[in-house]
Amino acid sequence: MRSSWARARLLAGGLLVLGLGFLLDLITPSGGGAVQLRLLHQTDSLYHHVMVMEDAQGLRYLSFNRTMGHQSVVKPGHPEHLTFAYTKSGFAALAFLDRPPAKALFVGLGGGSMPMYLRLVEPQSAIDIVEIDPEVTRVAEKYLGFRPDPAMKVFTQDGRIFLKRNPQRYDLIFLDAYNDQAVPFHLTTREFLELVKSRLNPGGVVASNIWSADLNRFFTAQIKTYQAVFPQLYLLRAGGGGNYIFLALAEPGKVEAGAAAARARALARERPWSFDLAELVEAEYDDYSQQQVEAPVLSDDYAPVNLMRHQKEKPPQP
Amino acid sequence: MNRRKLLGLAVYLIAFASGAVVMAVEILGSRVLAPFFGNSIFVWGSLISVFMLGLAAGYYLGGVLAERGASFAGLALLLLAPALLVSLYPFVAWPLCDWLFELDLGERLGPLTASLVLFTLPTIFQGAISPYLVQLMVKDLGRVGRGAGNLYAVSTLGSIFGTLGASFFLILWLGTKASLLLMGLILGLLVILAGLCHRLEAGLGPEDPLKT
Repeated sequence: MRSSWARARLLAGGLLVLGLGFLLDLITPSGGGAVQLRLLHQTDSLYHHVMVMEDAQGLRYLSFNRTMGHQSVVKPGHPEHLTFAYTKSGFAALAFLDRPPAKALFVGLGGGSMPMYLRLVEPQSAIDIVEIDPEVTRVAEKYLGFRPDPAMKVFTQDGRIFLKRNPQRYDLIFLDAYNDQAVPFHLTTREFLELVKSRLNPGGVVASNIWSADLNRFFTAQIKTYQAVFPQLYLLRAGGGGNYIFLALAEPGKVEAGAAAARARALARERPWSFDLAELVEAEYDDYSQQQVEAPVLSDDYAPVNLMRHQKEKPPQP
Repeated sequence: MNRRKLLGLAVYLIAFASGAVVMAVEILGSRVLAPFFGNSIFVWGSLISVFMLGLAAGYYLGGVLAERGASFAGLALLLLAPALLVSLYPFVAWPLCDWLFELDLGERLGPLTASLVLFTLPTIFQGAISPYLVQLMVKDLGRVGRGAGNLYAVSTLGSIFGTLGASFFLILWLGTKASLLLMGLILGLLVILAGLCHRLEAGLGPEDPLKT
């Protein structure tokens, strides 16, 4: 009995090592060495299998599933540390805004790295965060250094329901509620984006994180749907890792790359930024407002988003 | 093919198709609810339990009805009700959800109430079809187990077909509203099929089609 129990434990240990090895493959940066990850916490929530891991450098990783990539990487106590390229590119939204954001909204908390960074660079902003999973909020506070304050509150709700119930308007709305495995279709449609648009203050900006490792039909349909709702759309390729930041504005017009970069430099003079936003804007700026794409506009009636993600698109003709 | 065999085949076809429609409507129902109530576990839990409730009530009521004597004319009527109700979804489901959303019943009670209001009634009729078909098909008491087993199997296979068909293909090909209309249309065709069977049966004695 004892020996078979020991064998079982050995086997379980071996499987764990194998599993962790697989995770290491996933998080190893290209060209970098392997990162040793220690599991700090895991729990099943209503929506996910929430896992928190830590590497030797003290970086903490939030994951929703064993086989998925990480939702968020943070350095607790160091909100200035943004790991993912898309989180940096997301802040380009500030350079497309002609004023400091008095009120900002995040749909999707994740590890809380983006709201924490916004709090750092825009201390006067009132920040609302909608996160559907209370366990994610709890874990972000306990393990990931997320610190809500009286002007930074988390609402536990579906993003669309929150927006529908709240007439509050924002200068900045960040949409980051997809994970890499499943896209909630009701957060992709024209009707949803119309709702988001109606909650923008004049001149306000929507920044949306869209993941598309390869060119697929969902990605082009998202471009088409944003174009159908917003007169201005800019795509930032967020370091080229597969994430794209969509920046959308409700008014017609054009934000020139030079103007956005100048605004970014002005922001950097006001407060110390941990990365060069102006350089990022200049490198990644791409005006998509008038770009012709061949795809359907997604609607509440027609939004086969998870099926479309498996439909490959031909690369655009030069 | 003789007429009795034809009738038996029609009964199986109706069992298969109505089994498919029930599940397809359930999958499509999640697309109806999502813009108003999200697509959380609460929405799926509500949806599934309401369909089970409708089916349970339908099985019971269908049994009561069948005991009084089953006919293809009666079957046509039983199918007509969900055909009409399901065809109405594209026009009434969204406004109804909007109205229920305004009531703000909470993250559990909201989707549960919406599911109850939208999906209970047609599902009762569709549930009633199963025992009714058994009564229609099995006139020999000694073979009732076999007949019921066959029908449940065929109807459940239909449900698999409907589930995969709606989630893998219809949502991509047609979208939600047109898919719901298609489901209404399929039920409408079953009404016609049951009507044809009624005329065909008129020339036959009340025999067990399984016995041919």
